[in-house]
Amino acid sequence: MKKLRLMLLLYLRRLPWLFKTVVFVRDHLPMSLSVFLHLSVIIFLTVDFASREAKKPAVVSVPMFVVDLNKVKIGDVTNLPPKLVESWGAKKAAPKSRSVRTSAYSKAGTGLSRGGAGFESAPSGAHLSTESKPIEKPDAATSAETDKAVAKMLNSLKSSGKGGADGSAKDDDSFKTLLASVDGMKKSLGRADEPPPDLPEDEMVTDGIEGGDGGSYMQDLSVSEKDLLGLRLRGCWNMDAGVRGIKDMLIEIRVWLDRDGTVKDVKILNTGRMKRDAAFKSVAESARRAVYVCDKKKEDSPFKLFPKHYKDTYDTWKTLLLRFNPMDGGVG
Amino acid sequence: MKNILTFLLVVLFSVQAKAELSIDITGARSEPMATALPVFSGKNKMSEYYAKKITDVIQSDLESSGLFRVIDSFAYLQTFKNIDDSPRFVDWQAISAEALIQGEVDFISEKKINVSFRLWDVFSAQEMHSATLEVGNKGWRRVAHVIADTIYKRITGEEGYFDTRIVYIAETGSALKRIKRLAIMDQDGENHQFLTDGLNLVLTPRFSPNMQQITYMSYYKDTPRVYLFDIETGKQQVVGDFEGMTFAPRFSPDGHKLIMSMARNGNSDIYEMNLDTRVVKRLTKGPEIETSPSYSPDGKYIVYNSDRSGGQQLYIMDSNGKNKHRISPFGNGRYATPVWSPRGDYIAFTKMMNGKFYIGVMFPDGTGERLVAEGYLVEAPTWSPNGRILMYFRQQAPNKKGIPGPTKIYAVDITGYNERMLITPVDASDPAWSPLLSNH
Repeated sequence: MKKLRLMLLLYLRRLPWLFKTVVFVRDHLPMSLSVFLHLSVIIFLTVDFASREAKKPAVVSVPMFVVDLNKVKIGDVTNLPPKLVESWGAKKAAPKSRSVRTSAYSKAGTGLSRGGAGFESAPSGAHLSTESKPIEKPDAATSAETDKAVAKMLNSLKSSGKGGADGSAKDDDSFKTLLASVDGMKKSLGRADEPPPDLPEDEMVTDGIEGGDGGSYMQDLSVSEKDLLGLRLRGCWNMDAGVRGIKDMLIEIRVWLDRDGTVKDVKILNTGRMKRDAAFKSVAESARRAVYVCDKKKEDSPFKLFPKHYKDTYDTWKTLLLRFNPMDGGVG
Repeated sequence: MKNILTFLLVVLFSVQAKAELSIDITGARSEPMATALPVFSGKNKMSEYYAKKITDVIQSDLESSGLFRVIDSFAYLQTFKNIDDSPRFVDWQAISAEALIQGEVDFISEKKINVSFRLWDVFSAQEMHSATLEVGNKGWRRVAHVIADTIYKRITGEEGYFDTRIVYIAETGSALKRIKRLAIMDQDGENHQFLTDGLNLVLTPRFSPNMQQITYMSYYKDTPRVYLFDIETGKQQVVGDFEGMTFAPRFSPDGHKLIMSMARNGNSDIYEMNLDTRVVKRLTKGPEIETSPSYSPDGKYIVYNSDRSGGQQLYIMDSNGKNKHRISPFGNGRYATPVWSPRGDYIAFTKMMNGKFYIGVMFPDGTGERLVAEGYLVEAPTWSPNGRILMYFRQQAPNKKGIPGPTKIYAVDITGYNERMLITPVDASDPAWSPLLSNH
């Protein structure tokens, strides 16, 4: 033990600053301890050791997904805005605008291809911008075939190449690479040379991706459309304005609609008050009658607005909650 | 546990409400309901005779309410052979009938006629009501009124008023020598008869809630007194023998009390008399003129008319005479003859403003004033038993020679629409509407 101490002292002699420091610490032991503790607390608080440890296994390299937009099978239940799917061009545009974050939806799609041949390294955003070119052209937009669009794009590129100075080798090279990439794109889309399948119009419609909540896009029916519906229903509603207690009546009616906008069923929800209050019952029945009267107007029925403009988001309007409030400036 | 359940329910329903597209509809059209009323079918000649008559009465009752419009029978696409023929709703929808009344009369004997009817909601394709009534041949008119009441009640949710009667003052003679007699008739003007001979002046008749009695003011030996008149026996009796003159009588809702004004020494106050014990209680004091009392339907309050703030205004007090406060708004005009609606939600009154008379209604707290009729002289509002219709009389302005215009009874819906004149054999004033006969 003595030997060890001697050795230490000898060693410290060679490093006078360390020796001095040790002596200093020994002379001012309480203060030194305090400084040490403070420092360690500060270090523990600023450096998050725990999360450093936890993060390590979480780092996983995720392979890039490329979604074949033409094969995405999309169900009735949707969380996509309904307005974007009126024509074929728009139908394609609708999922496209969103596909940068496609990976979030990827598990819903049935025909997803993982990593197209020519696109292993290309970011999906670039892939999409390439594809969007034919859509911008008016004639391509009407065509349902990507093939033709691609061919056209190629033609236009070729002609521009011919129009250029001399068609030098360098130009040719870049053109070949472009051709190759287009071929790759075709392959990745899975329709290199085969003709596009003739789908019936209904099935071509992509009205959103299955699994959505369906609720948040209710607001897509604009306020003015809601007002219009309310006004049209009001026109069908004939009610005795002198009924007792009209001041505090609110009739809630649930309507079930068919896909073509006809009324399947109507139910008055305020059943309790219906039984108690004869005046309320009379007003509630008049409101229910209003729904039927509107429905019997056939093509003029206000509910036809839905299949006309929101054909593809049936689940958002297959049931409606109508709130009839008899009190208005016009009556009572 | 209950709290948790309600919480869960609230959460569930709020989620559902969020997920459903909801549309608000505020206000409605208020038009007469398009009703199809094909002539009731009859099983034989006599049945058909009564069927036609009954259908006509039902039609005129429903149309008079202003809430129904009976579609012309030429438009009907279906004829019913009997009550069990089921309606082809598409045909009735095609002529936009909202309601359909289908009926049948079966004349068995003079004393037994069966009348059946069904009420259909055409657009919902549902039966709303059906019933069979049995009457003697003299009661066919009342049966028609009862059916009309039933239909009215089923569709509007309120009691009907077709099976009722009206007493009024029939006026004959010149302006200077007016003869006023008490008369009674059905609400549609049928079965008219005079109750008094016209020797004594009669004013302000009122029905008792039990239908048997009418109270009114009559001059006897030049002193105005409140009388009771028994409809069945035709007997008259003076209500108490007071020193002063008594007027403006009205029954309490239970029929056991009579409330009226009594004038003594130039001051009139409100008194209440118990008809069973004949005990009289004074409800107002002071030098003001207080008159025209009317009970609320629950009997807890009395609305009356007082000039304590200068002009005639409306006041409400508790039925024991306490807690008096003014309800008529502070503004132009004087208010008189308040009558509390039988359903309690309105008080009808006569208003005098800028040299004209108005009939109006307001809520019992004095808000929501709405004038429903106006004229040179409109006065004495009385409520239909369901509180929907106001009846009053109107006198036209005198002509250039100073002869007063004719006096007639009118009825108007409380919404201010559908004013109609009642046809009476002579001039008429001071109408009073009976309670619903079929309830007694």
